[in-house]
Amino acid sequence: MNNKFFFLYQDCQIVRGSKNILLCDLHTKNVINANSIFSYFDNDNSILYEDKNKEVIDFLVAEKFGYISDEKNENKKELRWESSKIINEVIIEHSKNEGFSLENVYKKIETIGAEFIQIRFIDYSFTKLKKVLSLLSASSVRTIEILVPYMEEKKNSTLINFLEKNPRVQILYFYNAPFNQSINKPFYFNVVYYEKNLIDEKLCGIVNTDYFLIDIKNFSKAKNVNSCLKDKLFISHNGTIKNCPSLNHEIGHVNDILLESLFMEVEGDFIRNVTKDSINVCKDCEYRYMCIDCRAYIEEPSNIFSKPLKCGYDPYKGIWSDWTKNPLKQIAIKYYEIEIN
Amino acid sequence: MKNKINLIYFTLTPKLTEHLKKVSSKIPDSNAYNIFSERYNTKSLKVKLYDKVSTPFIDTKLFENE
Repeated sequence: MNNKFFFLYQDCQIVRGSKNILLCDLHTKNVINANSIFSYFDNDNSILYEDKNKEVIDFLVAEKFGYISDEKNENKKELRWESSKIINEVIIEHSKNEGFSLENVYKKIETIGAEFIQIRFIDYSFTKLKKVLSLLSASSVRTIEILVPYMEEKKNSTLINFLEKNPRVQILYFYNAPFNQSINKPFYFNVVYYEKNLIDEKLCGIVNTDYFLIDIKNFSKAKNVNSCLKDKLFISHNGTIKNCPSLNHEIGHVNDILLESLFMEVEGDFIRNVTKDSINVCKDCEYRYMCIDCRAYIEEPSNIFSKPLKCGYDPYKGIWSDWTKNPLKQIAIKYYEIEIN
Repeated sequence: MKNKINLIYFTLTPKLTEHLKKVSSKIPDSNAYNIFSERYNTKSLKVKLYDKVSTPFIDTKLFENE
């Protein structure tokens, strides 16, 4: 008689950290701590069906992590990450006197074929916003986020009423608001009021569980390239182009750069391919493939492979703590002039 | 018990409760397999993070009262 086995579904991945082991279902987004069940596995995806393993197998089947079969399946899904777009996420800043023409810059964004765009208004103008949205109306952009300074309530309401009719606009942020609040509107439209100035690039790079992304797209991305920087581009209000607002390296000016040379620069950029498996501490963390990395603010500014500064997790102890109070991070906090409050 | 079978929690009769306890006792102790995917087990973070530009710039702790 053939032996029976429990097999993990192909979308279920075991991630081993220094202290904890996770079992992640990239389809249902369910994640469990697998410390106490990992030893039952013969290899990374099967458990022999016998009495002593029955309890664990019943649990895993009930939680829909896998199935029982007598047919041994050695094939395992390969986690590759491929994108047809060299640049897929664009952040663009607008001010009263910006260093580019709206038509030209949005034509370039359309040629790039980016799917996701974040539009930041340093100086808000309803006329300019309407113009920008009309330039994007026939574009390949799928979701739009808009950041504007908090205004008087009547102006805020007018803007909300206008934007909630646009199916592409996913989030409207009012920064420098007198309070923090997030509101879910129908049809995946969210309004976020935030006390801090979101235009300040030093706010970015937060690492916490709320930002974990447990789906196959982001999991495979983090395994193969840099989860935050890979396909991102920032166009500042004066027209300079960078990988992200928080990085210093300037790629060129949006008015002058040819798309061919932009793509060449982006594809050859080393930092965009720094994976979690090559970063100190992160490589021993069980969350490494669901976490968003940050290379702009790191624990040792001179070591590009050092841990993100704004991560308070210790994978060797399995404990989260307040990163701002970590004595080992104080030098880097001063170096980047990050305000702690 | 409430978390495991929350859909029928409000319709529990003493007889059904006893039956479910028996079923539940056969399920491995939930503490031993601690499920802690916060993002998917709570609704505290209201902003959807999928299919957008990756910018982790919001301190979600400031929204904990929501």
